[in-house]
Amino acid sequence: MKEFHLGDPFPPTPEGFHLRLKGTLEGLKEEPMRRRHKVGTAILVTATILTLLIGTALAAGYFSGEIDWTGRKISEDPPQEPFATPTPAPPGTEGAEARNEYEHTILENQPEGEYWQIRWEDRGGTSQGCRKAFASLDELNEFLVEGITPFLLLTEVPDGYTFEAAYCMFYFSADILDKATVETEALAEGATLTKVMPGADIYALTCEYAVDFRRADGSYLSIWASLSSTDIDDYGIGVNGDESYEALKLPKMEHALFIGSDDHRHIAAIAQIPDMEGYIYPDQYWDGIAPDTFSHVDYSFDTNNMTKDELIAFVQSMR
Amino acid sequence: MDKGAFAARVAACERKLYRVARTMLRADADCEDAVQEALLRAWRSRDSLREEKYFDTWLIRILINECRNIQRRSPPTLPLDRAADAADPEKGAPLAALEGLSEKVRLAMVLYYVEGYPVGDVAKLLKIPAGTVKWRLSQGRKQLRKRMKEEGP
Repeated sequence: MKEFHLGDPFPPTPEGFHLRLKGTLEGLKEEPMRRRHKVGTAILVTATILTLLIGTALAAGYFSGEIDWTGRKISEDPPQEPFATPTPAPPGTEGAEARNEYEHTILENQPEGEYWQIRWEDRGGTSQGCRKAFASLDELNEFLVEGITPFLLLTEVPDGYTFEAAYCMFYFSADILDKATVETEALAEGATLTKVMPGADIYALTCEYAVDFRRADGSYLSIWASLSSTDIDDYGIGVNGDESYEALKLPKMEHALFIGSDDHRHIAAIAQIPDMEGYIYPDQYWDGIAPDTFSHVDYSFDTNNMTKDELIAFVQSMR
Repeated sequence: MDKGAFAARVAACERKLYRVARTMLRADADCEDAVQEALLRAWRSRDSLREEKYFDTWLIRILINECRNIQRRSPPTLPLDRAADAADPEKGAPLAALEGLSEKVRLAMVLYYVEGYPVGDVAKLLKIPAGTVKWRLSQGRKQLRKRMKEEGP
């Protein structure tokens, strides 16, 4: 949901950039294309040998691709790997910009605990989920323990950091949607605003929480937890060539991976939970689609300052 | 893909290439170097592009790698002329605010909000989980709103 709009804030493309691009294209030679797979194989073999010699799951040398929760490489990404989704065609700038701006002015007024959706007659639209903000970690935790989602909770603010922000988002049950107040309002130029007011019962159905800690020097530690219906075996975690990675064993987590580079450390983890059912979007229910089954919680921990051991210790402190 | 078709596809996404390079590299000279190296690498590897409809995202991924190579070679600095632009509200408060974000957040914001890639594709381009993309977007929105409010209309 793109409720925030940037437009194109960049300056015009510099003449130097254009000339360099044009000159490079003009200088291309129609020589026979290289076959890269042998080079790729050599890199893989070298990396495998080095990994065996080191005797750990740490990445050795350059690897860019996807790994599973055990750190096993499941696909290598040469720079030219195509993507499953075709390149989106850029929208007509004026029309799209005007609509985005208009949507933004409407959605700015959305109160906490309501779900708003804008639909256009001739194309899709934008939705903005139910959300609630918190002024402290304690306030967030007091709220989360009252809900039914078995999130692990953060128990401490890391040394040197202060709480900056936190929010929760919510999913819907069939009961909640049956009892919700729904209002529609015609907007300008063929758009319709739908407001779903589920009532206070929605606050028990947290599907996501996020917390941001910050230090005086601007360093951050960001935590994100979200219900997930993706099969655990279907995960592929991306790794860049300048990152090391290592499978971790962490209490209360089914799987965990550390991924780190010089300027960034990240732990991705999942914890299984008893199956829960619900809808992220009310349309799924109104269209008669079966609810999602959430089987675990995804956790993500990102920092640009804490060391690997500090980050692991922080994750281990969750209850 | 012959040279003519390759050049036409590159020309069609020139603006996109500039925005991505500019997101990661502050100096125009570095952006020029990155795009040149990316185009040469892409041309040499053009046989591995299975379908031409994926050309843009394929080229963007190569460009991101080249930008990272340049970053590794030299520490990030803001050229004096860019610093002046950032301080001049007439030249674009949104860009100045964007440049105040960390590179990882800034790149996610540009790929999602400016280039229009969905979260899944941004995750694949940056090789990070979709959840991390969403978190970076959340951080970016919050920080941009705060900065642009501080800078005034």
